[in-house]
This record gives sequence, C-alpha cells and structure tokens, in this order.
Amino acid sequence: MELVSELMKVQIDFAQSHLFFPYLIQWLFVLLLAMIGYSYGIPLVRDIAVGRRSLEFAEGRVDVMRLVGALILTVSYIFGMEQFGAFFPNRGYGFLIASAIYILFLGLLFSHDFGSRRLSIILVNALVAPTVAWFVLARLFRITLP
Amino acid sequence: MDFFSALDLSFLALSTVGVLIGIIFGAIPGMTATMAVAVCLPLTYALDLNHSLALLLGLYVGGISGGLVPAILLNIPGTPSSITTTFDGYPMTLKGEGERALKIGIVASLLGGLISLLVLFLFAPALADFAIKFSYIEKFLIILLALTVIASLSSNTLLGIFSGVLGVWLSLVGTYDVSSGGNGETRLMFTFMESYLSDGFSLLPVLIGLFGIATVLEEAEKGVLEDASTKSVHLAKGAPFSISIFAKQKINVLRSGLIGTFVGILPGVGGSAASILAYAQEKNFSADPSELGKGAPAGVIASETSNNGLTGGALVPLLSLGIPGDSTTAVLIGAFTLQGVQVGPLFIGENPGTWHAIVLGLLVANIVMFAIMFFAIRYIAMVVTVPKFVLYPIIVMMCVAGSYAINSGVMFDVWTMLLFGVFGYLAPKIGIEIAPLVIGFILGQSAEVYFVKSLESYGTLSIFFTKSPIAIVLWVLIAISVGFSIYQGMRKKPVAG
Repeated sequence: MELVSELMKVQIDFAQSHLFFPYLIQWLFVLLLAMIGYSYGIPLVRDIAVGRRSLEFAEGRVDVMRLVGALILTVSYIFGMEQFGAFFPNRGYGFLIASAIYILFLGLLFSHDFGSRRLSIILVNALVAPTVAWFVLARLFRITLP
Repeated sequence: MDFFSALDLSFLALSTVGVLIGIIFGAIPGMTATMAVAVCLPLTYALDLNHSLALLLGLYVGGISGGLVPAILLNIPGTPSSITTTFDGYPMTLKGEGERALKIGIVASLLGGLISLLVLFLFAPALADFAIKFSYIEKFLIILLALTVIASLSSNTLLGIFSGVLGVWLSLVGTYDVSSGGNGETRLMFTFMESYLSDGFSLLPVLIGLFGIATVLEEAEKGVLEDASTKSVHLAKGAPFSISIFAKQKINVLRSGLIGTFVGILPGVGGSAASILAYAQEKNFSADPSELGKGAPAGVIASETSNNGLTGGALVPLLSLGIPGDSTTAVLIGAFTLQGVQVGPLFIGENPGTWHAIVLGLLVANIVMFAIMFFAIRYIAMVVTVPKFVLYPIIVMMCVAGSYAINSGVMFDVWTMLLFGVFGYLAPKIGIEIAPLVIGFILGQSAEVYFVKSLESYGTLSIFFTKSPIAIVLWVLIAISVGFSIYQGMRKKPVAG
C-alpha cells in the first residue's frame, strides 16, 4: 500500500507546469496511436497487400476540379481581401470587392450549366449578396471588416 | 413579471429571423442547424447576450425543424436528425399526403420542443445547484465522463477517444494562462508562431471552419450536384391534416420527447441518435409495427418529436455543468464566450435574467417555428429548390466575415478557419470524429486547470479516487461508459465459423 501511495505522489514544478498536462496528453496520444495501429492499421495493411481492400480517398467519384478549385479560390479570396483592404482600411471595401469576385467565380465553378439565365443569376448573386452582407455587417452592426 | 422582462420587440424579431434562417439551413440537404449557428454567431457581436440567444436559439430550433421538409418531400433528410422522418414521411408524399405529413411533423416538432423545454426548466437549476458543490476534482471527472460517453457512443470507440484527446491537445496550444493559475509560458508551438498563437486557436473560427467550410468542401468533392427532384416541388393536398391524430399518439409523443431530451443531455450525442432510438421504440411498442415504413404518421411523429426534444435536453449539461450536449450547443458556448460569460454550475444562479431569456427564447422559437412552418408550409417547401451554386459561396463569405470580426479584425483567425475547414473535411476520411474533437477542444483547457490544480493542492493522484462519494459515483459512471463501449465493440465483431 505504501509503495502504491508513493507511486501516486506527484510534485509539479510551477516553472514547468505549463508542460505537465500536454506531456501527459502526448503520451496518451502515443498509446492510442499504438492501439489504433494494432487494431486497425495492421489488418488494413494486410488486406491491402492481399487485394481485399484498397485505399480510397472518398466514396464515389471525386470532383477534383471543383474541390481543388474551391480551395484555390478561397485561399485567393482571403489573400485578396487583405490586399484590397490595405487600400481602404477598416471600411469593409476590401471585403466587398473580394467577396463579389469570389462569389462570381465560385458560383461559376459550382454551376453545371452556363446558359444565359444561369449566368445572370450568378452575376446578380455576386453583386447583391456581398453588398447586402457589407451593409448589414459593416454599416448596420458596425462590425470591423477589411 | 421578472421572467418576461427579456421579452421585447427586438427579442421577438430576432427569434423570428433566427427561426426563419434556421429553417432554410435545415431544409437544404447538406446544411445543418450547427452550421446555421456557427455561420450566424459572429452577427451576435453587436448584440447583448439575451438578444444573441434569441437569435441563436431561433436558428437552433428552426434548423432542427427545417430538416423534415426535404425528408418528407424528397426522401432526402435535410439534417442528420431527420433520417428516420424519411421512412414514413416520403411514403406519405407518394400517397399524395405530403402536406399532411409536413403538418404532422411540424406539430410533433413543437410538442417535442416543449417537452424538452419543460425538462430543461425543471432539471437544469437542480443539477446546477448540485454541481456547485463540485471541487476541481469532480469537475475534472465530469469532463472525463463526458469524453468517455461521447467516445462510447461514437461509431468507433477507440477513434472517438482519439478524436477527443486530439481536441484536448489542440486546445492546449498557446499560453498556460496566468488568470487560471498558470505560469504564463507558451507551449506546443514554434517560437515564430508566438505572436499569432499566444492565446491559442480562437474557438469561433475553429468551429466555423469545422462546421461551415468543411461542409462546402465536402459538397465540392461530390461535384455540387443539383438533384433533379429539387428543381420543382409540388405539394399535393391529399387527405387533410387533423389534430385528432395526436390524440391516439399521446404515448408516442411523450416517449419520443423524453427520449430526445435524454439523448440531448448526453454530451456529444446528436439528433440522429435520438430519432433512430425513438423510431425503434415506436416500432417495438406499436400495435401494428408492419405499418411503420409504409407511410404511418406514428413514424413521423416519433422521429420529429424526438429530434426537437434534443434542443432543450442539450442545454441541460451546457447550462448546469458547462459541458455541451451536442455540436450545436458546443457552438453556442461561443456566444457566451463572445459576451465574456462562462457557463457552468454558477451560471443560472448568477445570471437569472439570461436564464429566463434562454427559457423564453426556446419557448418563443418553438411557437414561431410552428407558426411559420404550419401556415406558410407551401412557401417553406420551395426552400429546397434554392440552388447550391448560389448558397455555398454566400456561406463561405459569411464564414470569412465572421471569423475576421470575432476578435475585432484579426486575419489570422480567417486562416485558422480555413485550416480547420480543410482539417474538418479530411479528418472523417481517416476516422477522426468531429463531435468528440470539438468537445475535447472546448473542455481541454478547463480539464488541464482542474487536473493540475488538484495535483498541486493535494500532491497525489489518489485524491481523484478518494476525495468524495461524488468522485466515486463519477468513476462508476466512467466505468459503465467504458464497459458499454467495449460491449458494443464485442457485439460488432463477426461470429467465427
């Protein structure tokens, strides 16, 4: 019993206390990863090796163009908003201009049809939605936008 | 009366707007109540807490309820909690009873919401009073219990636990806060990141990314397909709706409402579990179970009563223990954080006005939801035809605006939102579960403070087992939860031979 209570004793050095819990969590990680590797990883590798299973990124067909395109557009949008916003600090115009361009291009990317009616909807959406959002957020609610 | 002091015109207006937006989000497949709350949360920056809650609770109730529209009309659940509504709702539409099915679902949603509100009103203050006695040790064990419960109810227990621990780890990035008794040192980051991450990852951009951006990326992966059936929706009149159907379904309503409420109280468990459980119970207790699945109103009633029953139930652990009952209430914590209010055992006692506002907000949201959906159902049904190429760009725009505005204009938060959006999109592909991760992230820093401070005070790990009878009860519950998950795991193993 005395041995158990000695083992349970813990002294935390205040200067290093910021590392105590993260250290425990990281060891728990290692343990869990080992258990996951043993329970699922090894059988998975075995099944792949004998051709019983294959690693698939997703169920069904992946629309690479729309997925990668959405990511590239979104990164460009955030980056562009910062750049436009530098010209008009804290007025929200950076958000407004970048959002209009983003919604236009993302709408085109997500559409499967490019008839005149569809293009008109996308264009109107690109003009109206950011304007309404800018007005409501920046003017009505006085929320800071780039 | 003090109880109604929060009720003013702007409270009603915000609740109505919230319900309407929530219904739209819920009615569009792929979008959820959680997404609605996450995306609209930054709007509450300009509002006081009570009015923020009116808006957000409206979004919550509307979002859960809206899912029944495509479930019944198109056989596509608008939200995960409406999966079982398709089992009988869509067959009713095929029989020409679409409008009747919708109205049955709407009334059932109202009843479920009111049942859970009553439980919330009676139970949460009592639980909070009990939890006030908790020391840091019991508080740590409650968090541990919450994480084991979520993990045990995940589709894969081991990965559920891993996801929760990952969430805790992510929450520790940053400074060990002096205000919580820490030493002010940074950890889990490179030195060059200190200027960005000294306060850690901001909660709201993380949530907006995980629930907003990830959904858009998932849709992009699938090609943002426009379902042909959403191009037009026709509501046949068929057999008229009659309230008398509910007179024969009293037990179903009560049982399903209580199932939804109880499931909501369990941390991290979502509406789909509530509705599946309630539907299964209705099938077990039905006089003619063979009718279920062929267009029986009882199936729609069980599903919709239980999934709306979740709303009040999920607020019970949030308001009394500070532990979110589901993903949406996890996002609601952001609203409190934004206003500088901490939820937990002291919340109801120290904030009676806000407590009354929450109860009122839920009551008003349920009534407004019923009024909008019941009387304008023909217009609401058209929501399912809103094209995704219009909606999704707007959603991303709102996510970006919200993330930027949360800390008064920090671009790093927008990049955080995108990072966690990509993470939220990729994580399920390797088995990481988002609900336990979010709850681990929200509770991680508190868990650290409770654990480390307890050890600093008592100097021994044994105190977690010996402090009080409450600690022992909590360990028993943890053991039951772990045992349940092991049992579930063994049941899923294929029989040999």
